[in-house]
Amino acid sequence: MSVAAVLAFVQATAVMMLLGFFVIELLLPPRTVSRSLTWALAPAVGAGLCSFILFLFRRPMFSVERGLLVVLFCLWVWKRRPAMASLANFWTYRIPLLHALLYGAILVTIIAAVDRIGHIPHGGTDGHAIWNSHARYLFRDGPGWQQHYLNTFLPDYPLLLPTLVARVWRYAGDVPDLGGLLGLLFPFIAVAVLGTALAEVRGSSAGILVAFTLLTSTYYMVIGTHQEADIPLSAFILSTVVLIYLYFERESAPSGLLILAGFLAGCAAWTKNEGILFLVATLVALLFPILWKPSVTLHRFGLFLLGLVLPLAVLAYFKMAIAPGNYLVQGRQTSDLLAKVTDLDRYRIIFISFLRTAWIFGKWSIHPVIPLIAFVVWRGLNWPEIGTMRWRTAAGILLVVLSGYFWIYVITPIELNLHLGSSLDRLLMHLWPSAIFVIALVARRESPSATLTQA
Amino acid sequence: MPGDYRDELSVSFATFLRRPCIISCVCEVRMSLLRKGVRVVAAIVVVYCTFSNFLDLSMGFSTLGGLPPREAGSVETFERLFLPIRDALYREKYDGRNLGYVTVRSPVGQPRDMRDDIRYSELRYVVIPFSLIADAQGAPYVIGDYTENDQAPESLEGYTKVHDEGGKLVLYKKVAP
Repeated sequence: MSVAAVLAFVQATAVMMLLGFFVIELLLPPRTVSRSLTWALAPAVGAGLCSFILFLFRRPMFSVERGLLVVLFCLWVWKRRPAMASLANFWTYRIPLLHALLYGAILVTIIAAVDRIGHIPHGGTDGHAIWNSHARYLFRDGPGWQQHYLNTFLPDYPLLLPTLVARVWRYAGDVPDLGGLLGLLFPFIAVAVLGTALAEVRGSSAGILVAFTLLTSTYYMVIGTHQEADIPLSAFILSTVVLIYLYFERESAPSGLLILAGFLAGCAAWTKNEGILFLVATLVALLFPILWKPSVTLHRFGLFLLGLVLPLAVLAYFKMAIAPGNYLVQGRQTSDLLAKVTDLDRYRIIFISFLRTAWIFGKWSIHPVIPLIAFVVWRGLNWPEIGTMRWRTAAGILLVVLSGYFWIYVITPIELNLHLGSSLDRLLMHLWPSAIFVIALVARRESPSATLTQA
Repeated sequence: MPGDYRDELSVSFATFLRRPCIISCVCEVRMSLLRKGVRVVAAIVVVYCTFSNFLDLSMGFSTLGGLPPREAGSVETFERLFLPIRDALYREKYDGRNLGYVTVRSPVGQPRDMRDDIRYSELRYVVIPFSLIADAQGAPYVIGDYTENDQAPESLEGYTKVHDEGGKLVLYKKVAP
């Protein structure tokens, strides 16, 4: 990998992050969320935007990206009138000990991950057979890509990751390792969003500790280098859950948080078919209170849909005009489905497999739920949190998705044990960062005097 | 007057009256110590588990999924072998997209085995933007994959050899009828 390619990759990432940053800043009133959380969410929002730009515009991608960047920057300067004082603060910033430890651990992880990418530049099996194959058609083929690309595995899978990889190749050339570097970005986005969001609602030491919990989830970080869509999907799921939680938590209930959540949930659906299930689960969770608060619920739902418009339109076009049918539903007989749904043995096998895999899916030596519980004990249990609307909505979304995964296994046309063995660990990865977030929320907020980071 | 027995009596009486309060104080102190102890143990568990998992992570990067040298990776090998074949296709001015795919088992009518399938999926990725079609009948160009220590056949019925990449990947062209 040449230095020029790496610099072009950095440029592509910077443009993506800045686009995301300006959109978040323009949608949220000042000080709605911390600056760190804004920067943590920026690459996820930017990734979604850049993916849609490449898919919709293809060749004039650079002009559209740069034009949009200039427009957003001007709007940001006009609306926010940023002060240069914050830059001066940057130079006087002293890194607290726990932060320094986390940054050190992140640096070590990045070095190890980049070394691994050097060994498997084309990614894991799914990485090259599915995602990078789609990316290569988008990058190397002409206008006829929509036809030729059907000769790949799972061409019905949405195109967020392939468009992002193709975009990076357009910046830096056809260097396979760059897809790996892009894939590596997403686990760190999840670590950053998780850490900064928890720091915001439970104090900075809580943020650092949960960030460590996700960072040390071995398999989660390792498959980040496999160039597969599971980790990007998990980052979008986490970002959506965090924004919905913050919306319910803030007394002012800023509309921008739900619009952003809608956009990111749409990005999750544009990443993988499982993301569509997540989108449905989120819609269900947001609509649930309609039974006792119809007008407020419809208002929230409208805001969420506003953010969802662009991703949903692109996804609908892709599914109707380009993608073939999905293997789970195509050519299925009602009798076959009925036989599977009424077979109780399948439920037993799936349930046991869920329990077993939930314990080992991260390939860790100590399940991180143990330090998480220890953390809650250390901080003290915050029982009232569990009864709040915000916590129940966040946890409810995850439960609906989890039960959706369960049902997919019940009706799968693939041999059950083979399907469970080849995919369940990755499916649990989708929900893992959000699960850490929801569990850690049960801990009490740190008292200012006990702030570890001030030590 | 200090040392007066009445004072002592009143003090001990007052202490006697405060006994339940002392017990609750002692209990509170004990509970507080217990809570502090539990919190210390919890903090140790957090630190130990995080550190232990971090060590796992660094090992995980080097071992999970195996780490062959870059050049030895099968996709990378196919990339190297296909480059001259792609140039040969350009020299042939082939403007189609489809390429047939055969293995040593194809001409004798044997089904592809699992290893063939894996190699097929890898080569299919490598040849993009061409589309590799397994066992395509009548494709104008066909790639013969003999990378698994297979002996490349001398000829393929109805096809002529265009390029042979060390007996591993062979490009055939359909003979005009």
